[in-house]
Amino acid sequence: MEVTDARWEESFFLDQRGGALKEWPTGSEVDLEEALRFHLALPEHKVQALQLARAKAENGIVVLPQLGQARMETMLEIIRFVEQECGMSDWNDSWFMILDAYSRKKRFDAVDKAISASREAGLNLLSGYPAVNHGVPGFRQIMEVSGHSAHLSTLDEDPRLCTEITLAGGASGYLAYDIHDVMQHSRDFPLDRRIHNHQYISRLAAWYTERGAPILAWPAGHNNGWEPPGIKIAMVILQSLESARQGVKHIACSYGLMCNVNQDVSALRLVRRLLDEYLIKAGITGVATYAGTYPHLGTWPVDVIQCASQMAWEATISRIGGAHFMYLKSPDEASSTPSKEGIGAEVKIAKHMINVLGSFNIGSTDAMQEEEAMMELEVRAIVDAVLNLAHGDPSNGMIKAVERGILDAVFSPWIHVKNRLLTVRDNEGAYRYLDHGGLPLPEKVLRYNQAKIDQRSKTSGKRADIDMVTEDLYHLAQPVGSHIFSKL
Amino acid sequence: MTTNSNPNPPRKVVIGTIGSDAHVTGQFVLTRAMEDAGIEVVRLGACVPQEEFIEAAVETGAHAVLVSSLYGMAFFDCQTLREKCIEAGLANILLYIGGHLGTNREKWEEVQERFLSIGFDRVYSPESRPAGIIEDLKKDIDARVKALQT
Repeated sequence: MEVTDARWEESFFLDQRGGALKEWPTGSEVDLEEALRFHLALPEHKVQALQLARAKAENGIVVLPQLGQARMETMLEIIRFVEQECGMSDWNDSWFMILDAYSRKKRFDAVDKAISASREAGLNLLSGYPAVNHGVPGFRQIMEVSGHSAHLSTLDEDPRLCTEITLAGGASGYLAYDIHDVMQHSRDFPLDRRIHNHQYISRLAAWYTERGAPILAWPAGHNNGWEPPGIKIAMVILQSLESARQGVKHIACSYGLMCNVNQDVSALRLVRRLLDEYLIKAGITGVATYAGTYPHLGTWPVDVIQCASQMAWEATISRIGGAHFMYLKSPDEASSTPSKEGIGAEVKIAKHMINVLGSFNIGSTDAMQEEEAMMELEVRAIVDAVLNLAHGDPSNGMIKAVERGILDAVFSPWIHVKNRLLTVRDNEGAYRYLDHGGLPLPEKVLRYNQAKIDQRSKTSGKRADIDMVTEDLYHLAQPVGSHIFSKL
Repeated sequence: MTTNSNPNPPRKVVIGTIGSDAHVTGQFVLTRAMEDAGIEVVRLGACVPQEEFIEAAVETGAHAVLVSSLYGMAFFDCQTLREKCIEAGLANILLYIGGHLGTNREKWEEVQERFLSIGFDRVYSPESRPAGIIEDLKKDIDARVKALQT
């Protein structure tokens, strides 16, 4: 498939919709004109783009707990519980609904069986909310019961039908992913087709936006938790450029936390600065941009108190880093799908830390400035290399960059990526490349990176090797009493 | 002149994430640890159907199938795995599973029992580490091999 970043003609877009909507019977529930009227009637606090704009203007932060259960009644029960009893009642609150893993692979038959089995067993047997099977009325019910805005994680290979259904249901955001998803959740899906699917949903979001219902694009640089910030920021910028090419006007870049203050704060500052710059360089204007955080995606502790501590730390970093939003994680997520008490706890933890921190600004230390300067060199080197492969076209450039290892991953399930990156933490807990594969990192960045690894080796007396990589995977998951770094 | 001091073929396993699960970090780590321990590993990667685990086990003569799962839905994915192994002539194969194995808050013993009841030999929690799994694996494989020889 020949892929370019060119904006889709409306006739081509409308033609494509016919196929996607037929993939499951609930696709027929999507009526674009009716859905547009529903969106236009939504109050400001139920529209994510407007919430983010207010957060940016007023130094606020949008808070997004995650929720996903098989049965409709459980979804609504949890929403009521968290909103009525756990303080989720402010203008800056929004829901992030998690799609179950079968839906992510379009196994809607298996989802139907799991919903029935969940009903019979009185248990939740899916890892998220089956948005396609519950259809447009399902999401409308959520919008009706909840006092807040929402969007859904339409992960994996083909989010077209799912995005159609949730946007028609009243979601005011969608996940603007392509390379991020195949690298994290796909076994062998071709990137060109994934880009095509991303262009479809971005074009759909632009359709609503152009008619007065702003839909927020959520590109991500979460990766799997082990990649240093530079590669994540590069991917988030590239995906943002693609979405904006299709006419999206509101973009919220989500950055996956490493839990190291210097790296995370620097990353947040850099995303905000570079995204605007690259959009302008690409000739794209009139786009409102935001940057915020997603919980660390490495291994978490199983102990709920330890988890809660880490969540408070993540909320702190997000706030002092000037994030416009933060996704939350439940303290019971290391052992189950989040319960209502777990979701309630995460909301309370985040809101408490926002209160504690007030308008505190961490400023910038020498170490932070150095980190940000190195990260900027790295991000520019990667993004420029990708764009240069295809005369400034991010979509075509990404395809070529993956083949050359210019975009790569740590422990990816995707067979098309080189998978050469390996990382270890340094003495301060920041992530560094043990092997940077084919990433086009400037010499200065490589020297900085190596010096940090050498310091760790010197202090610990251990060689930086694959054993250290493995040991570091458990860094944040260590039961209290056996922390790796306390033994250094 | 040297003779082969170990009359048994090397211990061999097949590993992958089952069903629609794409989370492969666990199998990367475990694969490396098993290889370091002298175990031959056939790594199948992400989103592996039951049939592919079985085909790989038949083809390679593996002693064990290790299912890695993070997304909480493995019970659905694994329900007929033991029966299909038996149909494929793998009645004696060891079946291990480990990871985040449920979507509800419940005691680990309950989760473990659920998987033992559908034919798994060992069930590991998210807190398990490679060393313990490898120790069990060596012990179990050697016991099976010995039982089949006698």
